[in-house]
Amino acid sequence: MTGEATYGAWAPEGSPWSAWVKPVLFACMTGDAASDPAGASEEAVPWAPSADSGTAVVIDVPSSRGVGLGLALARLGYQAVPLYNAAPSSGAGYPAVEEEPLVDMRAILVALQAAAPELAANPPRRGAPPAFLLDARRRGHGATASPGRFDNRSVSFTTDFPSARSLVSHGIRRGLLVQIESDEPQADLAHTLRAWQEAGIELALKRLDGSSEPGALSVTRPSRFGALWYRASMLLGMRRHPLGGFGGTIPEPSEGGGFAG
Amino acid sequence: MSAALQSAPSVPFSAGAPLPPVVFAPIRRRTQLEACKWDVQVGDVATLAEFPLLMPGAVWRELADTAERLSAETFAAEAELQRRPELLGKLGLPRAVRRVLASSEALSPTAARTLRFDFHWTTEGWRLSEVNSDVPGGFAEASLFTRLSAEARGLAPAGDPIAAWADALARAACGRLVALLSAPGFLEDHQILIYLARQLAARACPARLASPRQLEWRDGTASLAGEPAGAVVRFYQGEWLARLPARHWAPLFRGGRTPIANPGVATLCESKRFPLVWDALRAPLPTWRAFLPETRAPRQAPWRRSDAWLVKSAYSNTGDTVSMRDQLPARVWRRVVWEVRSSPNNWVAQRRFESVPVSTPRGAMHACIGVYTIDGRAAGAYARLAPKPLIDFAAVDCALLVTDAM
Repeated sequence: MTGEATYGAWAPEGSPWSAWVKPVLFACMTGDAASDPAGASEEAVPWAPSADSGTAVVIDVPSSRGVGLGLALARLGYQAVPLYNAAPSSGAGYPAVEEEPLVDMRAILVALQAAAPELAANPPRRGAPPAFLLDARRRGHGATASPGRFDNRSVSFTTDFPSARSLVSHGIRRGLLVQIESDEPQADLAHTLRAWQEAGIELALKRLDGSSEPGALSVTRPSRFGALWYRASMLLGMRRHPLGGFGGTIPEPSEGGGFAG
Repeated sequence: MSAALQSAPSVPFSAGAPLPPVVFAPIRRRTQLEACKWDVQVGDVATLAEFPLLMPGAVWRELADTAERLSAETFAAEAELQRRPELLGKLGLPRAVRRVLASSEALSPTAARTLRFDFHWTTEGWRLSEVNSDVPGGFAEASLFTRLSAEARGLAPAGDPIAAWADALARAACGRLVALLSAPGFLEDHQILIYLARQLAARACPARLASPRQLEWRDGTASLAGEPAGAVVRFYQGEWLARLPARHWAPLFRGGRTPIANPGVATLCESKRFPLVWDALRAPLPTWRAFLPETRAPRQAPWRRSDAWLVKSAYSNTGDTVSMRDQLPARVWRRVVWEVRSSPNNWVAQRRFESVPVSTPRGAMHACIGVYTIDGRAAGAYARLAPKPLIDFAAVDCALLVTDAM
């Protein structure tokens, strides 16, 4: 499948959530990805709410596992909405074999392409709730910058998601965060979840490192929550992010190769 | 300036009818996938307009000519400013950048020079809000999106700035590697550079993204991972560079031998305080003086008590810090007042103009027509629309089409 066809499978025309699908990886797909035998992992989602329960799912797990979870939820009637926002390569497209970006997106590229035929054959039904897919590695924690490595870290912003008002207008009144460990959302994602929570969306958390059922989630007010972007820009010496958000920053590599931020 | 433009009683352009979804959807998708426009959805707002702005050819030519005259004047001002270190402090440049610009080393060579002049139709005719001299964006919207929109209607685009930029860079690099510098995490910058990399690849010119720290300098020559660069694209704002050790970026300003686009000297006229040094320059700058509203240091303008004035920081991006008392909540305005009073040398006060909205399928909208010049020649336009008379990052992007191209 071409990148355009793959994108069409994940973001079918006419589906209300397709507008939020991030095109970054689809724009960088070539035939190279399709030749890789790996695909999306098979995932079981016994914890998933019914697709009729008015729940938006936010999956924040590392690498291509999110694609597998998204595909499993799609089989239950959700629309999987990839929000992967990192350029995979320092060049014009698919990363070269020898390239080592800080956040390796190749497995996700391959998984998205592998899952596309099934999604194309089974487009989301009318009224399907969204399951947003994030890469938990996006901010590059644990990665080591060094000369020659492409720095493709990224941040999730509130404007990457529909507003709570938009969710409610589609019958969504609950949100379920799915992550492997920790009882707290990642710092960048907390802004979105807090905004949803303040607007009346009822939040829950499912940790994948245990077998427990989803439990209630209360997101504490993040630092600089709700500050106007230009205030953040002025106060923190950062430029606001045109994709939205509140002045999240990504640490620059330090002189020693670690992160100074 | 043209008397006809100055006295025109009505908006000299109009909004066209929206394209039907079956026509517009493929245009949006191709813009996303081919031109790497990856932020077409910002929250609940779809940022690509399904309708164009239609401009008569004579009006476009007048704007293009004005932008070319502004470019020539800008280059003349830069040539003086880079020899006048005593004026650099008035521009609000970071100290580290001033130090490098004030050194005696030769200016680094230019690979290509891209400017974007932002025009607004007002009750007084066309007015200029600023020049994006340092790191202008908007190429996907102004290039492929506009071309596809034009083809769908049988009209002409105002130009193709990405093609003109890539042509100029390919000539400068002579087939060697082009290093594309941007800040980690700023995908809106990455997306432009990846689009540019594709354009360069189509011209048999290899290109790679990197951060300024990854660029290696030896005797003023840049290389990336050991490969010499034929040119460097600095899509990394000058004021940000000051936070890095100077050895990573000083040759982008002075002492470099590898051609740069845009060279560091471009930061001079990017400053919104640029008008404060006009009277100290020999260059007369008649077009700048005709089109830019009156601009003063904050202490010399009644911006706190008069809604006829706005304030903005010396280095604001896409309208980030443009602040108007009647457009802000009182709490936010108090914060702005505090910031301006705390560091007045980093701000400027400017007399407001009265933007005239244009009727569109999304309601009355205020338009900003950004005209690109590349190496001094007009190369296309980036049109944005906003419901308020302030064009910022949440504005809607629109194709500017020329109705009777000459």
